Amino acid sequence: MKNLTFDGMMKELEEIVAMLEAGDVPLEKAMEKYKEGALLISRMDEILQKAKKEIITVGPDESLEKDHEPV
Amino acid sequence: MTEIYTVSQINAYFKTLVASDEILSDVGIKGEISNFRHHHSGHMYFTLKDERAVVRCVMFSYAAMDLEFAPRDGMLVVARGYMSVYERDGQFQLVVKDMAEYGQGDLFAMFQQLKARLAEEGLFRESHKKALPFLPLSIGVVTSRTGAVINDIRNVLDRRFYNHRLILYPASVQGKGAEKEIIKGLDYFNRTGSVDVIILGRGGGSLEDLWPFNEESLARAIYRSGIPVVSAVGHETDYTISDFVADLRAPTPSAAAELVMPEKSVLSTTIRSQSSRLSNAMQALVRDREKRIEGIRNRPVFKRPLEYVLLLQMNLDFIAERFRKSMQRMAEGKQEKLSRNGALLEALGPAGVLNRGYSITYKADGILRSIRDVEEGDIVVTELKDGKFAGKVTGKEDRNEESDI
Repeated sequence: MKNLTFDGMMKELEEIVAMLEAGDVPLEKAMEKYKEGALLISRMDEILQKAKKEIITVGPDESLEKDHEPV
Repeated sequence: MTEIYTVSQINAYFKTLVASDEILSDVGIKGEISNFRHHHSGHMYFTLKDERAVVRCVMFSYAAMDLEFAPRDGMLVVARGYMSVYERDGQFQLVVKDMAEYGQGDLFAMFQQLKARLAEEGLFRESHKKALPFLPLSIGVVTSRTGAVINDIRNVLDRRFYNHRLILYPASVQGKGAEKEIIKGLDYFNRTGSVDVIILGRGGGSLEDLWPFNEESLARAIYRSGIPVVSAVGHETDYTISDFVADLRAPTPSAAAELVMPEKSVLSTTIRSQSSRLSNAMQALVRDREKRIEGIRNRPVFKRPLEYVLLLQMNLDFIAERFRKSMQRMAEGKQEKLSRNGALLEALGPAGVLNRGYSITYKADGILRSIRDVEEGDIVVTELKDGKFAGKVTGKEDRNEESDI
C-alpha cells in the first residue's frame, strides 16, 4: 500500500468499500480490509490538510525568493 | 557662451533638422502596431513598437484610403513615409504614406513547415504524452514575472486548492531569444525535480509575439521533459508548436490551472462519503453475522445436543425399518394373500368349526340352531370332530323367554 498516488489511494479505497458492501466476505478478511480502508482515509486526510502553502520565485542565480503570504 | 533660445525656436530648429535629414525624409520602419485609433476624419493614429522603443505614427486619410488591409493592434507592418516634428509639442512622428503587413506570410509558412517536420518526427505523438498527476501539490510555472498570466494562474490555484506550492521561473515570453529562457526554466524544474507539473504560459499576441513558442529548440525541450508540461499560449484560437508537443494544451492560463488542480472541497467530500460507506458496510456485515450466529445457536441441536442426536438416530431407525418392512411386504405380499384366503375359507367351513372344539347337534329333521327347535323327550344326535353320540333331552332353558320379560 505504500507509495500509492493520491488517486491510487482513492481507487483502492473504492475497491475496499465495494467489497464490504457486497457482503460476501468472511468476517476476518472484512475486518482486515476495514482497517486498510481506515488507514487510507487517514493518509489522504493528512495529505489534504498538511500540504503547505508556498509561493516561490526562482532568482537569477537559482536562489529562491519566498513570497510572504498571509495564511 | 551658449546661446539661449526659446522653446519655439528650439522646436523649429529641431523640425528643420529632421526635415533636412536624408534618411528620415524617406524611411521604412518595421514594427508592431499598437494604440491604433481610426478617427472619423479618416486619419489613423498609432504607434509602432519593437522590444525596446516606440515611435508615433499618423496616416492621413488620403493615404489610409488606399490600404489593402485593415491595420490592427499587434500586427507586424512595414510603414513607409517621412519623419516630421510637430512643433507645438516637440514630438516627432512618422507620417505614413504607405503600409504593408510584414512577413506574415513568411512566418506562417515557416510555422506550417516546422509543424509538419516535427509531426513526422513524432514529437506530437499521443503515445509520448504523459498523464498529468491527479493532485500536484507542487506546480511550476514558466512565464513573465508579472502580468495577467501568473496572476490568473495563482488566483485559480488558490481557489481550488489553497495549500499548494507554486514555483515561478520568470522568463521572457516574446522577442528574440526568449525561448532560451523558457528552456532554462524547463531544465531547472527537471533538474531539481521540485514540481509535479509545469505550466508554460503567455498571453495573446501576433504570430511574431508568440514566435518563441514555435521555436524548434523549445519544442524539443518540452518533448524531453520528464515532468508533464501544460502549454497555455496565446488566445483560445492560437496554436503554437508548444501546444502540439506539450502533454496537454490549455486555451488560457486560467484553464491550465483548472485542468491541473482538482478542487480540495470535492476531494474532502468524497473521502467523507467513502468513510461513511466503509463503516456502514462493516456494521451491516457484523450485524448479519451476529444474526446468523443467533439463529444457529437457538436450534435444538445446540440447546440439547444429545437428545437431538438420539432423536435423529431414532428417526433414522424408524425410517429404515418401515422401508425394510415395506420392501418385504411387497415381495411376500402376493403369496401371503393367497394362503391367507385359503385358511380363512377352511376355518369358516364345518370341518373347521368342529376342529375348533365346537359340536353340532341335530334331530331327524335337521341341525338344531335355536332352542325352539327342540322339546323335552326328543332324541338328538351330537357330532364331535372325531365321532358322535345319541341322547334324550331331559330339560331345556329358553333364554329368549327371559328376555321377553
